[in-house]
Amino acid sequence: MKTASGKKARMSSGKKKSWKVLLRHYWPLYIMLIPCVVYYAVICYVPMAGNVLAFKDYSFRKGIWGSDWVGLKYFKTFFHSYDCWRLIRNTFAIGFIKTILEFPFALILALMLNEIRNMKFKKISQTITYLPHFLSTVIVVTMLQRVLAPNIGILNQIIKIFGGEGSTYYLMESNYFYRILFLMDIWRGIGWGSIIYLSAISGVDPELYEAAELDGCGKLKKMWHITIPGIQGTVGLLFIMGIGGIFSSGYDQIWLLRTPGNMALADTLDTYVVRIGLQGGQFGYASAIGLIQGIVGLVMVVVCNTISKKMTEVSLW
Amino acid sequence: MKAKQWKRMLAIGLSAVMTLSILTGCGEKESGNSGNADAAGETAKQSTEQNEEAEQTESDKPDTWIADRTIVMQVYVDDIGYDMPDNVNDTLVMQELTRRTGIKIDVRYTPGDSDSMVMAAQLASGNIPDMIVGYLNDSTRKEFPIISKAAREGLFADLSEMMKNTKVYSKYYEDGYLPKDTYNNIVFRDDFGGAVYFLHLQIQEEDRSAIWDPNESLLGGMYIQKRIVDDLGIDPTSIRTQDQLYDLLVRIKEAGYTDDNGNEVWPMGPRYWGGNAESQELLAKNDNWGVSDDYNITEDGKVLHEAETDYVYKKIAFYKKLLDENLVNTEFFTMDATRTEEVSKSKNSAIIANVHSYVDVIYGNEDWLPLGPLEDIDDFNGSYYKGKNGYGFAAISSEAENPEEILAFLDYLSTYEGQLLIYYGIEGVTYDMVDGYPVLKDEVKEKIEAGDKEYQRDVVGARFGGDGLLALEFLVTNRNNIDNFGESRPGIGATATFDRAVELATEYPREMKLLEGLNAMAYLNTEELAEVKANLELLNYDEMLVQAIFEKNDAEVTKIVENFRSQLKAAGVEEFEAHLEEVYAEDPSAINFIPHN
Repeated sequence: MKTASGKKARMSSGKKKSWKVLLRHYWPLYIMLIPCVVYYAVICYVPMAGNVLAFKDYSFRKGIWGSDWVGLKYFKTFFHSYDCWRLIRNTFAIGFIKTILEFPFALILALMLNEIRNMKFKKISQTITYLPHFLSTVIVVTMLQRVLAPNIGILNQIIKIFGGEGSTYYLMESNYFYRILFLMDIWRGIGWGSIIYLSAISGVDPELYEAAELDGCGKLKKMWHITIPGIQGTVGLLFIMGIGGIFSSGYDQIWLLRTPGNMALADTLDTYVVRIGLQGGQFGYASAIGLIQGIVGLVMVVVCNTISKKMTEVSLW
Repeated sequence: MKAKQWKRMLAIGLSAVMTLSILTGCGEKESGNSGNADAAGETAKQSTEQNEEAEQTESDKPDTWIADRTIVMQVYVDDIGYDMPDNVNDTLVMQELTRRTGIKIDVRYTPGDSDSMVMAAQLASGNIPDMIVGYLNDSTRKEFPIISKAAREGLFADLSEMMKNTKVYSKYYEDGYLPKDTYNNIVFRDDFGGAVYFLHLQIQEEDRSAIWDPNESLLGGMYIQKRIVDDLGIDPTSIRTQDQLYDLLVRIKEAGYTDDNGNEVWPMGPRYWGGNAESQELLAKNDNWGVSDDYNITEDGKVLHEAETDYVYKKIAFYKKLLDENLVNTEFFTMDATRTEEVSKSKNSAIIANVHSYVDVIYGNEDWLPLGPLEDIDDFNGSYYKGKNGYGFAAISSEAENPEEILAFLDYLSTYEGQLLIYYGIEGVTYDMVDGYPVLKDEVKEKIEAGDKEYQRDVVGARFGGDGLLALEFLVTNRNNIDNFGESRPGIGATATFDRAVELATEYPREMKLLEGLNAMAYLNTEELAEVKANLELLNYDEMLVQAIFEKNDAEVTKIVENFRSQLKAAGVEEFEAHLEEVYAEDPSAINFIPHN
């Protein structure tokens, strides 16, 4: 017993020592870590406490903590509201497009860029695909409105040249809404999203490619049997992290693309929260809906992580 | 080794700066157009100024002296926020105002998606300075429930006792001085228990709303290109019904006019300030049954939402016909303001659906004439008036030091001396008194003619000639420009700039008709209807109409309308309608309904 506890004490002391050693050797790195820790604490974790508003009747004077409790009132109101299921359906649909359908495109672009041997062309291609990421949503949507405008928009002008009527008002027809959203996202985000995959690809051991070449593998086979398995972990992690957003449509893009013609599809929980929260001043109700979205996202991440861990051994934790 | 140490030091320094930057964001951010001083600095500055002031003898101070302080005001008015001088206290008007009262101002504006959203967020955070200022036409405005909640929860100072001792605001207690809505629903609300939290601004001293004054009135509505009127040989005032409008649009279309760029014109273009779903009311005037926030009353006393009547289908059919025959611009409801200005200026629209005579595209040339107006459901095509009204509010924070000084300052701005300063600047510098009225100096008139807005706003800081500094003018009440200054719009008559606007208002006068009462939605602000209000406010009838107008399948149109009717019912519209029926039965002048079947 004594021996055991003595060993435990030594181990513990050794552990402490190792932390001290680590700190002494790498203290500049730990100091550099502080801004990240502070950032996440201040920007991400502290505001989470505000979720308590979902259960309170918010009073300007009493503040978040002093306001009266209302229990699950807002949740009941939401689930009994006429629009509830339509909003949920619309949010899921857009979340699905953004997290699932759009997901592979950045990966495909990274794989294609990786195969380009002309470095000048590769750099130009990368720059061109990255640039849209830096444009604000307002600018992109304004450009889109011009491009898709009826009669005078570029798209309709081209259709006219080829003998079509060229008068379609794409943004006012709900059947085009998802397609517009999807293409806008791809154009804007594909280049930026491919950076992390390109970085993962650069970490794949070149000897594997050489060995594969000796075995007579072509480009496609190398991509399929070496590159993709080599970056499987990164792909899996990004997918699991992204799946948390499946119950979220984002606000600014949807708000700007929303027209009376497509509002049947473009009315989502995110725009609803802004309307009732900031425009209507119902902060508690808006927080309750935001909390529902957050919980669904968390559940999705946990479920996907568990499944992924069992099936592919890739997981966040 | 040395290089390594330097790198380490640099990394640590950067980390410290980044951490501090993040933490700095947690503190309160002071941002103003006049110095951006932090709170401590500001207090120290004020303290120094107070000490200096203490050294002055009492006799140095004019009778109008209030206090040596800076009043910090947060404005939720984009027209003020985007048009402030670099330092408002350096303008001639503010320097004179400071000399007279001792007060300086620090005007703060936070841009956002909308002023009302910014206001809601700032009130929710409890972070308001000495006073706040915002738009408020009447108690039906969407901002009102938010500021009213803030008032009930004690965010604003009770001004009731202080007001009684003021020169101008004491008038608010006089019988009949304030409009009914201002008195009952904004300033002296029953649920405030005798307290006064809001100053409704811009109230007129005399009610002249029943008089069509060409010098004062904006001639709004549809405008048609004069060349088209001449070419077709029509009398634009003869277009009074939707059918007549349709026939005119067909004639314009058939004539094949082109715009300044050689493109075919659209017979009907969007409103000048950008298309929106509310534009549905502009052309379907004869079918616009829901005159009061989409509600109205039948001749047998039944209150309904327009969506519950057949008028909804009439409107949809009318707009569908116009769109199908390419008589109205396809983007009539959605075109952004930049492009609507462009299509108006390039004359791509034969008719602008809505603009007024004080917009440069109209007063800057003689190319446009007023069209119609169309008749409403009551076969009336003039303008309704409802008496006095205001369009802004100010509230003083309950945590502001010496709120009576702030109120005294606001009161001074609304006195004759205050208004003269705000509207005309400094006597002998920007204007001279002639026969008891201010007249702008020739050099000032030249500046106005030359469009030198910076001179008016940044140098003088007054509001004449239809331009200049709005921040102070917005805070005025008890306006009576005709009696005080001999002209309804200060400085407008000094130049020929707006002659065309006055000429149009003279040539095309509008018949005036009294329509008392508030919009229906004002009566939704009761405790009992809180849930109904929350649900109804999420429904947008105008957007539903536009959605149905653009739907090609008739069965789908019916589905859209029926779905909206179901949403109204689920939201509790019947409860609200019953409440409106009770209110109207008790006092028909309470709601601006026009009974019609």
